[in-house]
Parts: sequence; structure tokens; C-alpha cells
Amino acid sequence: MPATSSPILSVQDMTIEFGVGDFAVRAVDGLSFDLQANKTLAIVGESGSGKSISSLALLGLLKNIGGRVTTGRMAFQSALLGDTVDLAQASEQELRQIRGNEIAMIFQEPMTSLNPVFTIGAQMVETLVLHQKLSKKEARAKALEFLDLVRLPNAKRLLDSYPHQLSGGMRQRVMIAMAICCEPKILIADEPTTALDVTIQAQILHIIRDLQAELGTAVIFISHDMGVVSEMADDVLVMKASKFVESGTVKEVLGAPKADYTKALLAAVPRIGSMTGTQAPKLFDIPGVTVASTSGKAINEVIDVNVAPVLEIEDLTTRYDIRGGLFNKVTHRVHAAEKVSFKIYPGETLALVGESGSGKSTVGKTIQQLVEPVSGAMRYHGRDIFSLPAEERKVFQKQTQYVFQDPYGSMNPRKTVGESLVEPAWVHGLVKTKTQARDLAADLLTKVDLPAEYAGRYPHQFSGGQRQRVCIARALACNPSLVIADEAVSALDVSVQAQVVNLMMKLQADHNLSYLFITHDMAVVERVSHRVAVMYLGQIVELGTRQQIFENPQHPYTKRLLAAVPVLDPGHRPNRPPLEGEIPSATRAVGDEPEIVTFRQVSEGHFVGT
Amino acid sequence: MSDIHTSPKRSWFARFFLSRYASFEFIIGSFLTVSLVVLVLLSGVLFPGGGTEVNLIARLSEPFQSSDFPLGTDPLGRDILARIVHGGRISLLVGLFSALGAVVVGTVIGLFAGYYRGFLDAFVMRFADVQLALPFILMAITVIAIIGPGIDRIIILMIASQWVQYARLVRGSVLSLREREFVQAARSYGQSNLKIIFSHILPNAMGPLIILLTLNVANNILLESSLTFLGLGADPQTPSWGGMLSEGRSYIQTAWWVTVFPGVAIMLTVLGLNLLGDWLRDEMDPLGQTR
Repeated sequence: MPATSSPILSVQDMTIEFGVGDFAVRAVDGLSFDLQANKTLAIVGESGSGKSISSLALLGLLKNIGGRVTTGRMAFQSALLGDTVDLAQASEQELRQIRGNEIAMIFQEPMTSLNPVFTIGAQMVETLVLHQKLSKKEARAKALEFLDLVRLPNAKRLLDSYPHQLSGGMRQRVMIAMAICCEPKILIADEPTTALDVTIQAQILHIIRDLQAELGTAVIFISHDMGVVSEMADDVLVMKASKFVESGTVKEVLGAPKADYTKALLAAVPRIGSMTGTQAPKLFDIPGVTVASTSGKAINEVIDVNVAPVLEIEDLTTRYDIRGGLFNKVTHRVHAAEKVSFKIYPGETLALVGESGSGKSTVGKTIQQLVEPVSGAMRYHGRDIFSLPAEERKVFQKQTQYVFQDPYGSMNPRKTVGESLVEPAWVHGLVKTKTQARDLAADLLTKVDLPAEYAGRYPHQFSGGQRQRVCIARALACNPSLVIADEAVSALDVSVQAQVVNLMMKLQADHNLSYLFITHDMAVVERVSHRVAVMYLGQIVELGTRQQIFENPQHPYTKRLLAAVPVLDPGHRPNRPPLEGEIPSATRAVGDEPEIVTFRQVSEGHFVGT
Repeated sequence: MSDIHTSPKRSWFARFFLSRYASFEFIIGSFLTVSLVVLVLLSGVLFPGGGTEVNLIARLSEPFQSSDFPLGTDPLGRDILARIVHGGRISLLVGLFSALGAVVVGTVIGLFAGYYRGFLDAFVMRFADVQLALPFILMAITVIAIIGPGIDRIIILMIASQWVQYARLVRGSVLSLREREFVQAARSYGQSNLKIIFSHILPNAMGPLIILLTLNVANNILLESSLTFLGLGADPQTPSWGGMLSEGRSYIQTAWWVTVFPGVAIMLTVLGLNLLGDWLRDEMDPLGQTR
């Protein structure tokens, strides 16, 4: 299709406001773009930049959340209404015809955007009967056709399944099938893969690309993940704080950005493969933020494996019981961690990577004694912790600290940050008076580059990045030697993520901390870690230094994981084989023990499961 | 920690009223509640007769006619204003103490049942189900028949039957709160279970509790009147709002004031408490999300 043809959607100078009168807040300020048929426009920006709000405006859904389009035009060439429609002025009835029919949307959360009480079939049929005026029978046949199109195996059986019976990836595919079943002209995908694992994400992106080629749909792809955008988009539009920053083809914007903001954003994106040949972890280079704050000690280049490890895990096994049946007997067990062994040395970052359900968080929680293991040993500076009485064990909760994924959820909303910060210190008797506590809170906040006065504020008065800094500060309150960071930066925007990662590395250098860095994000792992352990179905399948894992992956799962990571390389469309199927479940019937992986050594310190 | 930012210049009283704490709800609610409590406390001084003096000549006088009986008199010629002020003693006593007692007992049980789960939870909740299935009046008649009538007994009886609703409410909140990450975080740095329950979980479960508490006070004032009506409560001679309501029932066509004024008294009490409850709930929530 020639680029000169008139765009299917043309947005001009759109402004969206929330609230009334003097209290009005501009969520989108003068946004303009054109969308051509069969093309993908990616809208990128950090949280709060107004990208999702813009897409809701296109569907006329702003009213429901209290916003409105104050100025501007959204000219949409509607085949259904036979004319160009201004979506900003269209009546509710017109919008209802367009919504789901000509403009369809895929939401971020596949878990919550399907109604749990209806079968997949019933929900798809409802849309089709409504918009295409089909009979129930025809609609069912069509639903089946589209479930096949999104490569869902066994589509017939799926029609009669309920959402909870499907995995996240399958649900998102059902959502896509529902969105495209009326063959819309425009498909809006709002962070469609953010909640999914990388290998599943690769599948979904592949499906969206295929569908676009088949149906000629124009796609508006909203994402904060530059790698995904680079793989998916033809054109890119960058937004910042409700304002337009720049737009152009994907090569122009991601390859040679003009705006400073885009440059800064791209600099903060961890690029997989960018560390090839280097040994030590490296700080992110953020323009505008001085790197001088990292003066003092440098990050440990190589970890000395001849010293005594901080923590030694041996054959750690943790299982969750699933009860059922008449007498509430244990019928199945989730084998979340199975004979996991590793060591963490002083000043080292060990990354524990894997997809959801691989048991990586369980390992972290077992170390922090939040979960009781079935068997195994844990030696902290040589002392076996599980053999100690409960009272003495508690002391070790001081030495290891846990940072959770969600900075919004991991602080008590009813306590000031200052109170939350020093609570661990009170528990372990490190502060005895209020004055001491106040000094400690101020000291901790300064350590994580926040003003000491913030101690009096409540968690909701902080941004996500600041809150995660506070959580890190709380972890430091007891001078631990090991910090377990469970997806600690996964929920943050890229630029904030880069800052928090830099902070963590700086703190590591200053205090000779060891990190157990639990994450699914391979690109971040490449930046921060000294050694990497890859987990799959509760077992470690490969363990080695960062260089060994990233430059010479041996296990097929590690290779698959690395291949699935979207690469920030505009113009380059990945040619990875479409992965089929789901990650198998680690739930097993009682007595059905999994096979234990045995290791072979590839090179010095590099172990691969066979 | 929160005292870092308080400005030292004004007195605490002035600061309080100038701060965001002073809202419509607080001013009206505290005015109503405080004046009621003051009136009731001063009842002996204001009306030394106790509102029990019978004056058959002046029976069923209309209100606003004479300064002797500003709110009129009842069928026995007793001053309604005096009876309301004196009746407040019993009504407020029963309403407030039974609700407060129930909230304390129910909350503690609910917190522990929800946090520890297991046998305790199963036992307490099945017990609560059984108790909910028992009609209160029936239980009250039986128990009072055995232990004899009295205000203190009524309060205990109300607590014994009403802790259930608080326990269920709190347990529900606790079940979701105990899975939240800030609770996990507290566990991760070794905070004790008791501290987690009372300093992390309880403050986050308070909102609905306060609302239920204020509604409960009103209900209990009326419940006391039913019990009095059945002869299970206080001595029928002693005035109480609920008792006045039921006495005036048969005169409602001819002498509206006999029922309306005690009704207004109950309404103002409940209104004051509800406003204060709303205010308290909002103030305790730093997010202000319920506003």
C-alpha cells in the first residue's frame, strides 16, 4: 500500500482533560498522528505519559473514567457508517457500532479482561452476534476459525472452557482472537505482552504480526518496551508527560533520535548483547545524571571464589501441597524448588533467572525463611540455619533482606516512610530510642539519594521509583550482607529502572553487599550480574559466569530464553522459529517425583544440566 | 517520625482547627456528640426530679406552650424534655458500651482467626455461624430468664451476640491483607506476629469497622427499647429513649410529641456518631481514597 494514500485514522491536535474548571488536569496535550492501513504505529512513553489515555479516547471510553476530549479531531474512515467520522464528536450510538467492530482493543491484563463466569465461546459469540448480526451457530463457527488463527491448539474444546482453565499466554491469545473476530480496521494493543513471560511474549508478537499481514489491520501498539517496539513498529511516536516528543519511522526514531528525551530513554534501555566481551557488571550511562556519585569503590570486577561464601544452599527442596478430595488429603504437590544448590560470595550478584512458575521466587523466599523447605541445607557464613532453633534462626533474617517486586504494595500505606524504614531496626534492637530511629531514617534516605525530610511522608506521596528506593533503604536498615531482590526493578519504567539498578550497584560497591537478583529480564541480568543461574521447573539447569551464560549458552532452555528477548535494533525483524506450546507445570501427583538434573562441567565454573 | 514537620508556633488546639482535620463532618459531628454527652452528664443537675414526677393535670400537654414543659408531657404528665435528658443515660450507656465491647471482642477474634487460619479459624467461624442462626430476642429471653434482668446483663448479652459481625468483617479483610506484600515484607525482616497483626493489619482494616460501629450504636439503642418493652431490660420506671418510643406508640395519632422527641434524640445521636465515624475513617486513611 503506498504511503501517500489517505490515512485510515488521522488525529489532529487532540487534547484530553480530566476534572473540571480550575482543577482540570491535561492528560494529553495537542497530540497529532496519522495511521495508515496495514501499518503499525507504536506509541511509546513512560507511565503517566498519556499513551493509554489516548487510546481510550479513540474508543470513546474516556467518559467512564471522568475524562473528555476538549479540542482536536479524530477523523476515522468508517466503512460501516460510510463516511469519515470524527470520533471526538460521534454520538454514543455511533461509537458503540465502531467499538469492537471497526476499532478493537487488547488490554494488558489477560487475567482480568475476560469475564470469569462465562466460557470463552460464550464471550466470543456475544461480540459476533452483537456486531456482525450472525446467528449463534454461525458465530460459533466463526469463533472457532479465529481461535485457530491465533494458533490455539484444540480450539473446539477451548470454546467450552472457562478463563481460569487457561494459562496467561493462552488467555491473551483468546483476547486477541476476540478483538480481531470482527475483522477490525484498527487494532489497539495496550501493552499486550507486558504481563507475559518472554517466550510467550515472542509467540504473541509473532501472532499479531501474522494477523496483520493476513487481515491488513492497522495496529496501534502501546508499549514501554523499546525492544518490542523495535520489532513490531513501522512508525514510532514518543510521548512524555502528556506531550508529543517526536515521531517518525522506527529507523529514524530508534536509530537516530533527535529529541533529548528519546536519547535518554534509549540510553536507559538495557540491550542484550551490549556487554559482550566485558567481565564486570556495568552501570547504565544516563545522560544528564552525573556518574560522579559512583566515586569511591568500584564494582567488584571478578568474584573471588576462593573465599568463604556468604551463603551456601545445598539440595534445597520446597514444595507446596495441594489438598483435595473428601478427606482433604494431599493429592498433588507443586515442586517449586527441587534440589537447588548454589553459593553466593561476598560482593557478588548472583542472578536467578527463569520464567513464571520456574520456582525462582520460592528459592528467594525459602532463603528469607518465609517458606519452610522440605529438605536441604542453608549455610550462612558456614552455620547451618535450618538446624538451629526458631529463636536463633530469626537472627538471620537480619542478615538477609528481601526487596519485593511491587514498591506500591510492600510498604504499609498507613505508616509514614520513616516509620516503615526503621521497623526492621526496631525488630532487631538496632535502635532503642525515637531519636536514634529518626537519625537512622534520615541516614538511610540519604544513602538512596532521597532527601532526609521525606521521612514524614506517606508511601502514596512517592513515585514508583522513589518508593523502590525506599524499599531498598529499608533493606539496608540492618546492615545485611545479602539482599534478595525479587523482580525489584521489573515494575519500573526504563529510565527509573536504570537509576535504581545503578543505585543498587553503587550500594554494592560501598557496602560489599551480595545480591541474589531474581528476575525474568535477561537484558537487566546481563548488566548487573557476576554469575547467572537459570531455573526451569524448579531446578537449576545452567549455572556460570555472566559471560559464560550469555556468550556460550549450553542448555536448550537457556538458548530459548535468550533468543526470545526482543532486540532493540530498528529494521531488524527477528527470524526466530515460532515456539509452540506452553511451559509445562511443576505440579505433580504425590509420589510422582521429578527427575533430578545432573550437571556436567563445560568449563571452569560453568555447569550445565543434562 | 511524623512529628518532624509539625510547626511549633500555635497551640495544638489552634493547629488542629486550622489543619485539614477540621472538616464539616468533624465540626457538626463533634458538636452533636459533645453536647449530647454534656446534657446527659448534667441530667441530675438540670432535672433533679429524674423525669419521673407524675402530673396528671398536665397530662399530654402540647409542646412549645409552657415553659414548664417545653417539649410537652406524656400520658402521665411527665416532662418529656426531662425524660429525654435522663433517658439518654441508659440509651447512651447501652448503645455505646455494647457496640464498643462487641467491636473489641469481635475484632480481636477476627484478627487472630484470619491471620492464623487453621483450626482456630474453622472453629470460630462455625461457632459464629451457629450464633447468627439464633434469633437474638429468643436468646435474650432465655438468658434473662435464667440470670435476671438488668442493664449490665443486657450489655453483656448484646456483646455476646454482636461480636460475630465484627469478627466476620475483620476476618475477611485480614484474609486479603495477610497476603499483601507489606505484610510479607514485615515477616521477611523478622517482625513478630503480634506486631504484624496489630500494627500492620489492623490499621488497614479499620475503615469498614468504624462504619459498622456507628450503625451498631443506633441499632443497640433501639434494641434496648425492645428488651425494655418485653420487660427484660431496665426497670420500666427509669426513662430510656427506646422505652419512651414504645410507650408513646398508642398515642401517635393524638399526641405526636410523645414519640417524635425521643426519636429526634436518637436520630441526632446517630447522626453525630456517623459523621464522627466518617471523619475518623477518612483521617485514618492517608490516601484519602474513601473520600
